[in-house]
Amino acid sequence: MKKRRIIFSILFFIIFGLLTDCIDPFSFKAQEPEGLINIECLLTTMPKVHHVRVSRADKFGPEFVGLNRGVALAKVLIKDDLGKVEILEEQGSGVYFTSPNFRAEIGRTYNLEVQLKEGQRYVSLPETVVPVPALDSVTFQSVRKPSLERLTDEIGVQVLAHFQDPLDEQNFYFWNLLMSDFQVIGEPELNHNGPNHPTCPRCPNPLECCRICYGRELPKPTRVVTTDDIDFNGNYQRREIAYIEDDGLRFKGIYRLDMQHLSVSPSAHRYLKLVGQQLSISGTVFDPPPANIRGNFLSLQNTQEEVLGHFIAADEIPIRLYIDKDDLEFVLRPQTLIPTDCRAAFRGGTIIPPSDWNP
Amino acid sequence: MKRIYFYIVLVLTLLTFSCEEERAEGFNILTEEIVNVSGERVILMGRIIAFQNIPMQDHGFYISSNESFNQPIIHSMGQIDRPGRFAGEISGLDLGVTYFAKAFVVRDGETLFGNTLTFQTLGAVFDDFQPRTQFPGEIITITGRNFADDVEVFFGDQKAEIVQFEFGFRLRVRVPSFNNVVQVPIRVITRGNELSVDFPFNYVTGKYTLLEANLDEFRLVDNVFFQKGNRFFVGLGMNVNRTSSNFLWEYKPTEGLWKKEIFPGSTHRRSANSGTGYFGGGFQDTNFPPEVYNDSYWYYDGDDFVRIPNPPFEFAESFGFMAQGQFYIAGGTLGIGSNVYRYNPETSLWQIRPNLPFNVDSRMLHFVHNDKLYWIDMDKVLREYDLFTAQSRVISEYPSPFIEDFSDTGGTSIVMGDKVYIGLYNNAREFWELDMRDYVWTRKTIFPGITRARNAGIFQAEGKIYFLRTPDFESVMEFWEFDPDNL
Repeated sequence: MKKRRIIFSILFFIIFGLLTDCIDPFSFKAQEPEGLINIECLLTTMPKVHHVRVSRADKFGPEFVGLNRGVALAKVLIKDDLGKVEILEEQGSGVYFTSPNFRAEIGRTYNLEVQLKEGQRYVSLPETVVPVPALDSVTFQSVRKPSLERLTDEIGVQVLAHFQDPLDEQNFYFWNLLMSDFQVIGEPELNHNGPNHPTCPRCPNPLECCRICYGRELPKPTRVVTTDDIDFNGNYQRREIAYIEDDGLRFKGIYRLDMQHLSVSPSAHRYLKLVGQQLSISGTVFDPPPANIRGNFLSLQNTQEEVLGHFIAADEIPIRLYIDKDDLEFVLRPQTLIPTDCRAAFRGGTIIPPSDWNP
Repeated sequence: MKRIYFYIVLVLTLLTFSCEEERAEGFNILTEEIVNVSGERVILMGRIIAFQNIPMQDHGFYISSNESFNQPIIHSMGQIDRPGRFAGEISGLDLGVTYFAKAFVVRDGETLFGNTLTFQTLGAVFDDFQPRTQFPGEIITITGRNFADDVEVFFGDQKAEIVQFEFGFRLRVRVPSFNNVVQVPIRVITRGNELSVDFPFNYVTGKYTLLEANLDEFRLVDNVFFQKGNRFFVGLGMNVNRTSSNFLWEYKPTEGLWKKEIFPGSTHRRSANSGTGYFGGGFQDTNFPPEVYNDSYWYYDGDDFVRIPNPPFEFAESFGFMAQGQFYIAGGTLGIGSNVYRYNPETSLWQIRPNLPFNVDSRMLHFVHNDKLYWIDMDKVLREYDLFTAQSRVISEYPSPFIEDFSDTGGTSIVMGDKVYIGLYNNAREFWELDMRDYVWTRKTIFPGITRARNAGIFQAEGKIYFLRTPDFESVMEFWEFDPDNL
C-alpha cells in the first residue's frame, strides 16, 4: 500500500511537472485601434458663429476615460443644396467655426463634409431644415420628487412649453440646454477668520462685499429631451422641456435659463433618443439595453469605417427665461450658505452682470 | 428491446435533420440615397442587403442622362464581400442636367442592378469678387457656386492664372498685366457656360508727382492750411526746430511756387482748422506743456484776415469743419473732448450744440460730406454724425491696418464730389478712395515718397490732389501732386 502511494506521488509530480513545462509564456501586445472619428455639429437658423468639433473617440469606462483629442488641420465645409459652400476655420482643439452670422435656411438641405489632413473624407447624409412650430409661452414651476435618500425629497424647477403641434405633418422636437447665467447669493456678513489667523482665529469678520455675484453653468442634470409627435399629433401641448435640480445654490437669486426649441430630422431624433436612453442608464433592471448609436456620416474611402457623431440642421427658436426665486412655490431648504465674498465661492463669478441681463 | 432503441434513434435523427433548412445565398441591391449633388459631382449611397457575406466581383453605380442607361458612366468600386452600405463620388458631370443613377453588383459574371434614382446637377453661379480693385500680379478671390474643374477666368480678353481652386466655389486668381484699360469685365467660363457680374474690375490707379515748389527754410508742423478757389494757403504752427511761424504761404497751381505772406496775429499751433479759411484756438507758443492758449479766431476772406469772436470754450487739437455755411469746432484735448460749438457768420455768434457721442481730437481723421461729419477713430471705425439730429452710426471701417501709436494717427483726407480720398497715415503708404454713395473703398497707388513724415496740408484743383508733407529726417518739405484716375 505504501509502495503504491509512493508510485502515485511520483506519477503525480511527473505529470504536474510536464504540464507546467508545457506552459510557455505568450507575449501578447494588444493592437489598440486608432480612435474612431467623431464629428459633431448642430447648425441652426439663428445667425451666429456655429461650430463643428472633429475628434477621435477614446476609451470610456470605469477605469479609464480617454481625452477624445481634437483633430487638427482638417478642412470642414457646410454645403447646401444650391451649391453654396461655407468653409469653417479652425480655432484649435479640433473645433472649427463658421463665419459670424452664418445660419441655416428653412427648406434648404445641408451636408457637412470633413477632409482630414491625411486625405480621408467624411460626408454627412443630407439634413433638411423644417420649420419648428412656434411656442405660445414657456412657464416654470417648482416640483418635488422622491429621491434616493428616504428622508429628503429632490426639489427642482420644471420648465414647460405651451405650443400647438401641427396636424398635417410629422414633427420631431429637441430642446437643448445652453450655458446659463445665474445670481450667486453670498452672506459676507457671516464671514469668519481662518483657523490660522495670527490674532483671532475663527473670529467673526463680516465683509462688506460682495453679496450678489453672477455665475455661468450648464444647467444640471444633463438630459437629452427629444420627442416626436406620434402620440400627440395635432394636439395642444403643455410639455416638460427641461428640469433643473435645485442644489441649494441655483435658486437663491435669479436664474437665467437659455435653451433652444428645435425641429430636427427623424434621423437626428432617433440618434438623440438613443443617446438620451444610454445616458440615463443607472444600473437598475429598468435600464434600456446597450445600443449601437449610429451617426449620419459616411467615409468616402472606406464605407465600412464606423464614424461617430451626427450632423443636425434644425430650425431654432431661442428660449430665455428668468426664474426668480420669489416666483417659485418652494425651493430647497436649507439653502447653501456662502459665508464669505461670493466671488471667492464661485469660480469665475463676477459682480458685473452680463451685458444683456434684463430680468 | 434492441429494436425499440434503434427506432428511437432513427426517429430522433430524422427529426433533427428535418429542422435544418438550407439557407439560400440571397441578397438585394438597393440604390439608397443621393447624398450630395453639386455642379459636376454627385455622392451616391447604395446598400447590399444579405444575411451573410457574399463575394461580389464588382460593385458601384451606373449614371446616365437617359433612363435607358445608354452609354452610362460606370463608377466601379471593385470587389466586396460584406453586405452593408457603400458610397461613391462621381465627378465630371455636366452642369444643370438631369441624371439617372442605379447601384450595381457583379456576382458570378452577372450584373445585377438596384432601383433607379434621379437627380439634377446644379448650374454654375458667379456671385462676387474681392477686392474690386487690385494691382496687376496680385490676387483677387472669386466666389460663386458649382464651378467645374475646367473653369477659366478672363479679365476682358486676357486669361488669368488660377492660383487656387477651392471646392468648386472659390477661385484665387492672379490679376493679369495692365492693358491700358482701367476697367475690365471679369468672365468665368466653366463647362461651356460663360458667367459674369454686373460690376467691372478696376486696376489700381493714381499717379504721384513730386513738385519742385518748396517752402524756403521752413518745415511746418502743427500748422494751419486752407484753400480759397485755386489758391492754397499753409502756415502758422511752428518749424520743426520749435521756432514759431507767424507766416502763411500761398500757392497757385498756375504759378507753381509758394509765396510768403505776413499774418497779423500770433501763431496758432494745433488749432481748430476748417480748411476753408476759418481757424483759431490752439497754442500761441512753441513750448512744451504748460502751453499758452491762443484765444483768437480768424477768417480769411480772400484778401484779408478778419478776426471773429472767440467761443466761450477753449479748443486745441480739435476738429474744425464747415457745414451749411457755418464754422464748427468739436472735441479736442482741452476739457471735455466731445464739446461742439458753432459759429454763424451772419450773426457773428457762437452757439453750443449737442455733444458728440464720443471724444474726438485731431489725431483722428475727419471730413464733412453733405453737411454730415465723418471721422475715423483709432479703432479704424468710420462714423457718421448728423449735426442736426445729433444721431451717429457706424458706416464702414478703414481697410488698411493700424499699428497702435505708430500708424493710427496723422492721416489726411479730402472730399471731391461723392468721393473722399483718405490715407497717408503716419508711417503708412496706403491711400484709399471712398465712394460715399455705397461706401465702397477703392485702393489707390501706393505712395512712393518718404513715410516718416507728417501731413501739413491737402488741397484740390481740377481733379488733382495736392499735399504737403514734412519729413522727419529731411531738410525740406515735399509737395506732391496726385492724379487719382491716372496711371
